[in-house]
Amino acid sequence: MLRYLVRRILSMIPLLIVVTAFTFVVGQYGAGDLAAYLAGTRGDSTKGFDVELYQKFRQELGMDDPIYARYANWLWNAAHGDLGRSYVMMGDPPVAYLIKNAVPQSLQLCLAALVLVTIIGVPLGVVAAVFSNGFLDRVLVSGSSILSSIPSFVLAPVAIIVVVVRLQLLPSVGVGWHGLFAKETILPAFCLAMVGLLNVVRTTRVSILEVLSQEYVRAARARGLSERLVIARHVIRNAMLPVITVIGMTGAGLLGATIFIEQIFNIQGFGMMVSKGLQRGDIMTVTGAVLVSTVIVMLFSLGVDLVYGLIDPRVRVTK
Amino acid sequence: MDTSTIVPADISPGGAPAGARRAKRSRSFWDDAWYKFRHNWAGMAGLTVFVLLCLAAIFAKQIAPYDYLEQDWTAILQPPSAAHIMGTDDLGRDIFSRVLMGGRTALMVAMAISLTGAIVGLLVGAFSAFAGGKVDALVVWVIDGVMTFPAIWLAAFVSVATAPALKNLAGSLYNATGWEFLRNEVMISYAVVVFAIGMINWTWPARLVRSQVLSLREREFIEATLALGARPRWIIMKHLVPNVLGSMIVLVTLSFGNAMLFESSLSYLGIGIRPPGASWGAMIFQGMSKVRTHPYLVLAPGITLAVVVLALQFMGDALNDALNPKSRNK
Repeated sequence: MLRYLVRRILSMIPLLIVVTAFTFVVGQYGAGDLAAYLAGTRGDSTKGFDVELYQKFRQELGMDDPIYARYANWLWNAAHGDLGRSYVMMGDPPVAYLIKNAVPQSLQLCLAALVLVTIIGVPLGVVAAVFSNGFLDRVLVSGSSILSSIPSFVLAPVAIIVVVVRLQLLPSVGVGWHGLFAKETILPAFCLAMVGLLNVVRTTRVSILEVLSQEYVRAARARGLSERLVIARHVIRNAMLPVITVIGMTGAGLLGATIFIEQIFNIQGFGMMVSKGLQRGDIMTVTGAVLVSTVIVMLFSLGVDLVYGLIDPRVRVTK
Repeated sequence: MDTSTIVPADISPGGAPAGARRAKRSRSFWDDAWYKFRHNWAGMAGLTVFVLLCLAAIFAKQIAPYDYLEQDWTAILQPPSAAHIMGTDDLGRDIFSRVLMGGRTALMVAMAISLTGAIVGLLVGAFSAFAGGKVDALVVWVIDGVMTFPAIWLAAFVSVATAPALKNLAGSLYNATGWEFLRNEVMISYAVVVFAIGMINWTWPARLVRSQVLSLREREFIEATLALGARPRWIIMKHLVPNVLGSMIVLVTLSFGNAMLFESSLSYLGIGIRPPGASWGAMIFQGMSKVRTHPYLVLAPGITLAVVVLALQFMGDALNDALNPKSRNK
């Protein structure tokens, strides 16, 4: 098990390097000349463009080095927890500091949404499968199609208007993060969860249908087990593997969708940081965020694999 | 389902004798698929919405009661009325006209993205499967890598990072050719969006084509055709393409909706289509600050976007049921 774990983690490194190298190189070339930007904004504007200052900044940022050396340098620093500074924001805060403050909120929000999508989506999928091709099946599948088709930047404001402003069921979110179990978290988590609902419902439904057609289900019925027992004991447990995979993949999608949800609900999280960084052209922040989010997604998929192994003894790695 | 082609022997050319069953022409695969699609209400509803959208986009200038850029300072933030059926925005522009033009944008961008995605995916997937070995492993690894990353972030990043470079490129092309559209900022933002979303969108078709080619290569009938001396071109045109086409159509339909959603998302984030170009996403973003007092600013483009995405989703599902009978869940 330990060996498998180590090998899995090692196999992630090449992908991590390629992804970060891509973002670093594209970002450095695409964002324009950072030293020119700094010399233009920080220098004495009455004197015109300060070439000396420009050269100083170039040197400071190591921009005269070849790109691979700069990337290697950045990666080396990143491995030591230093992701450079965000020069676009006031006071040049270190990117690592920004990320450290933003990530916990977003992870909690994603976790809440993931729990919601699981406890809503899986039962709906099971019910749809049990009544497959019936009225209830159609209603559930098209209903979740509709909820998942509405983009989160439309669903969220509508939800705010209806639930918070008109019905006043939940308190207004206001500014910031109120904690995982706060009432204010319900609505953002719910809106985020809807992004992945259709996938979970669908996979559960198909997976249950497949198991229902297996011989051992017929055998269980033949033994005289009630339909409820057949479903609960035999079908659900065997149908859960693909569902876990999809829930795992949904996790990455949810992290992506925080970019909209956090902006609308005013949560100072990871998604907010990235969307602001993109709008301001703050390439150092975005590059750092790409590294961190890739690590998060990879660790997440590793976690899913481990859960997989725990649940299904056939997948357990023997070596 | 009657697919019988056997003509009863006693039918004379002059006409069938009384009582004899009229021989039906056998239904081809496509007839059959169309029959199934036609009887799927969700698919037909999706198709109807999609056709309406296409018509609205093509004739946007004729349908729109106002110019989509025309600002009327005497009619700012008007709620929906007879004069402005979807109201007006904070510059007094008619929202219905802007939604129509936004539909044109969304359609054009989505068409470009899904077509390039399908072509690039087809080439990469087929190349990877035929090359095999290390090349194949590398391609699969790249596809998996692109897919692990949150797609919208990647598109947003590429959009931001390549916009200046593409603008420079267009500028130097303009200097060389003198074509006026190369200086059009809106046009360039179209190109940036297509490029950014295209970076991600090719992975699905590539994966599909690769797996299809790999599984087909092992099949006996291909081996038999090869043994009969068929050229690769024959195999590709007669066996590969018909086998992949069904799944490809489904995939392109679904990716079409996805591309529209991505275009709106990027524009919503302020890094997609630049003003004055009309985009549903940008309209939603502009309306967001006034959503509590003027919800129709968000609802008009928002509901349109949601309905279109849903229509394409339903259409894709129905096509899948019709074209891939084997994959249908019981």
